[in-house]
Amino acid sequence: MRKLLVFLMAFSILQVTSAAPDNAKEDSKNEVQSIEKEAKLKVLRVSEIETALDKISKDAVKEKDVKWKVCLDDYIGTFKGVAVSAIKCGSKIEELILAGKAEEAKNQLILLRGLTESAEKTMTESQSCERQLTRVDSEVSVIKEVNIKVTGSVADETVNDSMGLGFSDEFVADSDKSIVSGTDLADAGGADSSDVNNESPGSSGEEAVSEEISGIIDPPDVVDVSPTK
Amino acid sequence: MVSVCAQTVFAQSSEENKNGFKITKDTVLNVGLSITPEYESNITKASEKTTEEDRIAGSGPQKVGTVSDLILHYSPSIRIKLDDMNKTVGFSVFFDYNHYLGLQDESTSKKLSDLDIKSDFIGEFNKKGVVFFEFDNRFSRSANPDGQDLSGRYKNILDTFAIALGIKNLEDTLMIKIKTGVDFNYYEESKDIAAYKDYNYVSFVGDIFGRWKFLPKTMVFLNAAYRYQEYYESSIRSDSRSMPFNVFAGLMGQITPHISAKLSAGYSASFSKDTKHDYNANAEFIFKYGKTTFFNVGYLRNMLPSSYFQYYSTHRLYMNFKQKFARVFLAKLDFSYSFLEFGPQIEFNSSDYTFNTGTGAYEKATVTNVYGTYDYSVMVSGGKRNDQLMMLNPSISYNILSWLGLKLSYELEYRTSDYDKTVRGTFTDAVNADNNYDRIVHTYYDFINHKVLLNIALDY
Repeated sequence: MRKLLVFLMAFSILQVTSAAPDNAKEDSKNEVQSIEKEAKLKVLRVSEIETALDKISKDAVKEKDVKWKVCLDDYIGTFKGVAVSAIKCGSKIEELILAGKAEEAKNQLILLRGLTESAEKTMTESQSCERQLTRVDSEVSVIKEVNIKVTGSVADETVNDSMGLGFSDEFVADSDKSIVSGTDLADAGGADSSDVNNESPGSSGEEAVSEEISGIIDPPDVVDVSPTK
Repeated sequence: MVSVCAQTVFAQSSEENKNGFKITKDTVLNVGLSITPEYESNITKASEKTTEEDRIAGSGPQKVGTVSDLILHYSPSIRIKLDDMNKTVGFSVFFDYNHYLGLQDESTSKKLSDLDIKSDFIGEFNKKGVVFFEFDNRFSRSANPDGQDLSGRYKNILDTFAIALGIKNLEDTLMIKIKTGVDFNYYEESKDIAAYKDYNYVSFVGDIFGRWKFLPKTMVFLNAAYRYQEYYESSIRSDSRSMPFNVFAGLMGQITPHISAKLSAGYSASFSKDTKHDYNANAEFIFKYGKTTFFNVGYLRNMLPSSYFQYYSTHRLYMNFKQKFARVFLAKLDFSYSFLEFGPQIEFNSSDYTFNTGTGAYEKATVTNVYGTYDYSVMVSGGKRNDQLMMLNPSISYNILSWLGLKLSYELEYRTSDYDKTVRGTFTDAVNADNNYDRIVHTYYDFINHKVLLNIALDY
């Protein structure tokens, strides 16, 4: 029995000592893969930010919004340096991994993380650039040449809103429960919804001419003059 | 500053008032029930001048009179809507059972109790795309008391269906929408009573709409529409079509944060038995103060098809005022005045009737068969028909909870008309003289109607 116990203990120690280098190798391989993957993602993200900033810059040119463009250029200038460094850093990490220098690759990854964070920050800050109101796009929250008294509030930029559609929709007893409202993609103050020139539906909160139609059509005369009755 | 704070409060409350049962991530079901007691002073919208005469009994002209009643509306409803980034599909159905209590005339009023139904089915697809697609189907069944007597209700079924294809530029500043659709109108009584068949129609609509948003909240637009309305069972139209064409262009949007306007004008034409060329116009000025005050005033001129006339055109002045206060109250006042000009009438222009210059009446050919002899004549006012219609509707609403509300309202409808009609029917029975009759009904079209409604609505 004692011999058996001694044998088992020796076997276990042997197992542990022989397996340890294999596990360390496996961990190291995983770490390298992780560094490579993260580096690629960081470089990709920096590229995305670069593309987005380029697009915004082109929009500013297209809209002839000089003030916006000048403001953006400051951030884009800063960003270009960050982007070049990030791309270089990404390439270097690949090279170091190929050369089996995992520790140095790890150090470069820390640097790349910092550069990506800086890129994100630049992107966020660039969004604070003020725009002239030259673009009319319901999907974009337009920061105007802040004169709200003239241009209205930022949140309500639609024609429907200006014509008073949905003004009192929140009143339960006043709303029309027979209709289900869509998105109103036309945003045309109801002018697209009828084949005749109509008052805007927001003015009355109901179909503009419904009472006219029902009032106009003469009720049929059911005068009991039929010989069959 | 006060106004800014008030706006914020309303924005928040409207954000919070997201009622409904969430079925899936993007699908919401709303369920509603409302009960509305209503007093109506003239349920048939009849003229007090309308008379009826039984010449065999020798009673002389008797006023038909008006009938008032108390009506209880029981109105359950459901709405279900799937709304995500790319599409919206929604369906609603609203029932309104009108229970006439028969306060003044129990025997007849109770016959009028019936069910109104309204339903809506909409779809919007590829909402974020340059090309999008929409459809809308609205169905309604309305059951209103007959115009001049209380023999029952007329039950009108109207279904309107339209599909539209829209094209937008990327910035959504330019848009063109091409729409086509069909309307179908049918009176259930037309199965048994020929007079109702004159109102049954099918209508095909084609519409092109374009708009350009050139400033925030501001756009120019152009609309051209053609409607082919066929009164397919009409016995009174020799040419049963009505084909209005409307084209108009305009400008609408915000002038200052408090003032908006709409100006549009165009050309209308009605191609029926005769062709009528006309203009249409709409001018509207809106004053808004934050999210709490709304006031508008406008003028509208347009032309529409009619069952008994080739068309009618409207000069309409309207005014609406809405004031929210204490966050949960809404006071409203709607007013409108319309001057209605009718085109040449269609009735009696057909070959079934001949005009008797001696009596000034249109007479239908005498019908003689084995049962006896039947004569029918109609005398109508000469010249064109002109009506005036005034409506006044103050109301106050109170949101007790975001899903429970009350509304007290009053409606005045007052109409004058220079049009009247005398119908005489005589029947001489071939066998039994007891069946003979000789009746004259003289119908006027002016009326006044008062309504008082208290709506208790639950909608979650």
